[in-house]
Amino acid sequence: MTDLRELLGSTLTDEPESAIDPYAAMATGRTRRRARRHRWLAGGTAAAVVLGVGAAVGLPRLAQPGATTAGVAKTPGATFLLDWRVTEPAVRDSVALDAPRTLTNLEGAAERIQQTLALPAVSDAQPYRLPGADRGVLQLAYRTADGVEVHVVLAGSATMSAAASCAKSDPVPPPPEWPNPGDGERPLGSAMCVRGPDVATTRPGGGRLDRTVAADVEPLYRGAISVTVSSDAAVPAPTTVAAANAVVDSLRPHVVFARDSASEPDSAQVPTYTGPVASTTRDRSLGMSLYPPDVAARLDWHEALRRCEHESGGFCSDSVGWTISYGLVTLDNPATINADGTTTRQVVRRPAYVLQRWSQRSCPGLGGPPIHMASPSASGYAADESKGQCRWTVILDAGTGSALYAVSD
Amino acid sequence: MGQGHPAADDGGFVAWATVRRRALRHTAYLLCGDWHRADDLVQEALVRVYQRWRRIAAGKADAYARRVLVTAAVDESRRPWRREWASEVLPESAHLDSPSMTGAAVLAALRQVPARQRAVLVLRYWEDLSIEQTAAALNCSTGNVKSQSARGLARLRDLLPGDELTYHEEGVR
Repeated sequence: MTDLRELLGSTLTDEPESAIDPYAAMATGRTRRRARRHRWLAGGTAAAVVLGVGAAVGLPRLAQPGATTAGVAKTPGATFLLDWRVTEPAVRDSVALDAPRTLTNLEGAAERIQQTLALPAVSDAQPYRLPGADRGVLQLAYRTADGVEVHVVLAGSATMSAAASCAKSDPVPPPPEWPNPGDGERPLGSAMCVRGPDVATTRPGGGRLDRTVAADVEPLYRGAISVTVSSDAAVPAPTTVAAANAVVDSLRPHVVFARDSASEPDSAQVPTYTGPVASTTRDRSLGMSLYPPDVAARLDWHEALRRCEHESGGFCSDSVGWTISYGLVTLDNPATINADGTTTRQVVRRPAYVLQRWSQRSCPGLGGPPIHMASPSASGYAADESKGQCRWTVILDAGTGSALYAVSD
Repeated sequence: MGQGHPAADDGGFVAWATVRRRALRHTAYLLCGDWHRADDLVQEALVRVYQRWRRIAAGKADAYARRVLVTAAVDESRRPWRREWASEVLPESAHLDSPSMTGAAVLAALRQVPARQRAVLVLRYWEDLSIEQTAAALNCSTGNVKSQSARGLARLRDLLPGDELTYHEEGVR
């Protein structure tokens, strides 16, 4: 005889530390009230607002957050843009910065970034809200004097999960030439998603949210931080790398990357960028080539780059631009068939760098399952065909620096 | 503090939330089976309660929060991507071959109970709500609660064989 209540209670034994914060709830509540007062938010439509500094430098008001990145990139003379931020000192001070789970934490992280990068303060704040659920997203985007564009997206506590991006991508069996993973090895999934704020724009079939509205605002996994540093071909790679390092270094002391990922050996030990990596893909479903897991897992990223270049015929010399992103990579596991005939898809999320490079040369699809790329830069650049004919992507495990995947299309 | 919100109200909300958040979190976890999602659900419930804090009658905050919690959990479970299971470690079995009366087995079984039935089970046999209170939380009839409860229990018995489930038929609150 087993009491049902006892049974239910037995599931609560591994309760982790709570990330629930009444103050963050109050801040969000106020945010929603403000949101309702703004006409452009009527109907539950999200809107990002260029405020403070954005207005000061003469940037036009952008009604759609999806346009934000592109706006920064295309606006001559713009030094940076801080397009959304919540200013609630009482809330900000109430939570430590080492657990970027809630909007409050992220706001604090954004503050630190802003200070580190010596960005002017913004005195006002405007929220936006997506239909369905609140998605607190803080964004910092700016362009350095060297022409390097930096876009930091801090995703707050929301009702999103890492699985969302892969929701509608059909699992495809791995290629037969892949070796079976041995004991202790992780089988590679067939589909792959890189979580990013514009994931909805690349979700097969369109996704739940309006494509335009969703661009740039659907967050990474709760509390995740995405950093994109991009430049065109005129900017030397080391300059871009240095900018990326500056952002990551500014974050490192204040946040713990992917803290809840128990499988990470030490996810706070983020390796330093030391050079460019060539990669290419498009943010639409295209064929791709994945290295076998036994190879990819052992490659360092220089080796991955070399290999990419070699196998692409040295197209990197044709590159016209490249980006570095930091975010959570969601790796799909092919569906598990349950005893009752249903399927369960499992995903693994890992903090990773995503390095991309565009090429002028068109690369034929190499076959294989689709890739769904969604990096913060995608909404700003992917639609810009002049950036290149194709991209290569290398995804590096942020904890180990090893290449998880090398992808091309 | 808040715009148009007296500080005293905020203080009352914080005090209430601080006391209730753990219990709400437990309920949320039983509803969704994931601590992080449970945090999100509770946070959402707290936000909603805060928004209506001045209008919620004294002593009704718990019921309102519970209702938000259940509604959000059921809604989320209907969304396609919620059928996925985020996990850090691979490979791992999605199905327990030999379910035993462990927390993990119970949780796995609970996940296989339809969301609405699961909500009824959690409210009735974890929160100890009466049929009427459960119906109010789910915005449905008492008859619906009874039928959902019976089906949910039957499903749970099927999923947890080898032992007999007992439960208190009537809520204590």
